Amino acid sequence: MKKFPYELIVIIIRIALGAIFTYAGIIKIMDPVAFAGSIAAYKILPYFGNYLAAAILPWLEVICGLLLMAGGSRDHPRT
Amino acid sequence: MNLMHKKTLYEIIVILLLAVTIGVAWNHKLLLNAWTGQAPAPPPPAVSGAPAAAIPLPVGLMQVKDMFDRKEAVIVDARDEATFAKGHIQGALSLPVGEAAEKVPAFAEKHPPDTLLILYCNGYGCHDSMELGIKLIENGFTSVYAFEGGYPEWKDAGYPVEGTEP
Repeated sequence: MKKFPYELIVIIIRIALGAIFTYAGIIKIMDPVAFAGSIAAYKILPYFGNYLAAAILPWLEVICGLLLMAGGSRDHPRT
Repeated sequence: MNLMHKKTLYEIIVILLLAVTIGVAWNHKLLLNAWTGQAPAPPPPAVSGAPAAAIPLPVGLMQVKDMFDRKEAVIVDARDEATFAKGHIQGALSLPVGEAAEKVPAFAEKHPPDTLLILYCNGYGCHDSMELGIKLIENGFTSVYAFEGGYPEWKDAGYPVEGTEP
């Protein structure tokens, strides 16, 4: 019996998740004011905090998404 | 802390710093505007000669207060009439977005197209002021701003309001 391809499945999930993160980040980078409005709607940050979060978080999302797609972590190395 | 954890922590810090650096650099203009929107004596947004934007430009609480104090702007309430009657920014005019089709032409007759207009509604979750602003721009107004914090932010700041239950 053929070995179940865990490694392949991990790669597929990893790339899909990374792509979702990257996509979600990019659409927010395109319109930071709208994202700031969405954050402000939660009323948890002060006025300027909304804009600061809207400026930084999407980039964090894109970086994490790209790194996830690139792979190379200790637990799940590039194969 | 063992070496593995240390390395992970180091990686997290690098990723965070990278995001902060790029995010702040990429959005420095927006952040500067947001910051000055709260500064004690912000310069009011450029009014005359500014190119007509297709959507209203966002404006912060302090800028609105500044223009309110100097009576430079016509403040327009985009919410419905009943909500307006209960409480609105002092001196604001009611122009409900739902009745924009009927009321904007009359409004345009009374105010020249370069009038500085500040639109507001119920704060960040509310898009009525944006929608109304787009309609006013379509009707030829060139200086249309949306106060995104809206009535809640104005009222919370303790600035002048009027109405039956402000």
